[in-house]
Amino acid sequence: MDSNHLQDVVTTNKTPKHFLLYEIYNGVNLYQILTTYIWQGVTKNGQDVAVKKLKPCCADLDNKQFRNEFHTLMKLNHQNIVQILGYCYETMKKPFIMPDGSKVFVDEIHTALCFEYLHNGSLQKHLSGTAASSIFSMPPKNIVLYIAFD
Amino acid sequence: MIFLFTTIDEYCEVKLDWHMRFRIIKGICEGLKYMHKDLEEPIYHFDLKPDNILLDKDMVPKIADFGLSRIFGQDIIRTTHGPYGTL
Repeated sequence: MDSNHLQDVVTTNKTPKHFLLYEIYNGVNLYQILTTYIWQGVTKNGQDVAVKKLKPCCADLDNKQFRNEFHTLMKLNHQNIVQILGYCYETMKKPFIMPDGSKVFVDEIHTALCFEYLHNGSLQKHLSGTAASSIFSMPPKNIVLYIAFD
Repeated sequence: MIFLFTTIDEYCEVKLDWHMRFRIIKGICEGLKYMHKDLEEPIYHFDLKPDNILLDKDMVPKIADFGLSRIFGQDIIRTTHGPYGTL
């Protein structure tokens, strides 16, 4: 499989396909961290995508969360639910030195989900902070809050 | 009496007027109805909050982050014992 595989998945917008970890890196140019694990990327044909990389981990929790999210998203197809474009699930062998000096290999699971990128961010961003002033349709200016103590 | 002075930044990308707010709320409700009623096996999100509602370039809301969601079959009753989601 070549690095255009991811691009094809994104372009044709069909059932999400499995692709390998290096394809995530080669097929999408990840250039901005949105949150701890979510990256904004752009494919070679210029489409914006969001890639959610879960922490590589041997623990069951992240693995379970990934499977949960993936199986749920596979079942959903609605205009008001975020669309999944592709995914990655790959086990890597990581060398690990035991306390007695012997070397063993530990399975490290790398998971990633590729979503459509939504340009206006989260609703929280619009409701809090600077944008919250529009709730009351107030002109941007200094306001005074009175806090009275009886 | 305490006076608290706050400056509101003039920077605001998209103005959320009431019509847009209504469209966002309606969109979220349609998404939830699809998940709860229209599917054979309903899916419950379990972590719905403004952080998990994403808006596209036309300000159409989309429900995201299904990490905690669970699928409920018709004939299976499940109860949640532990605290789910984030506060």
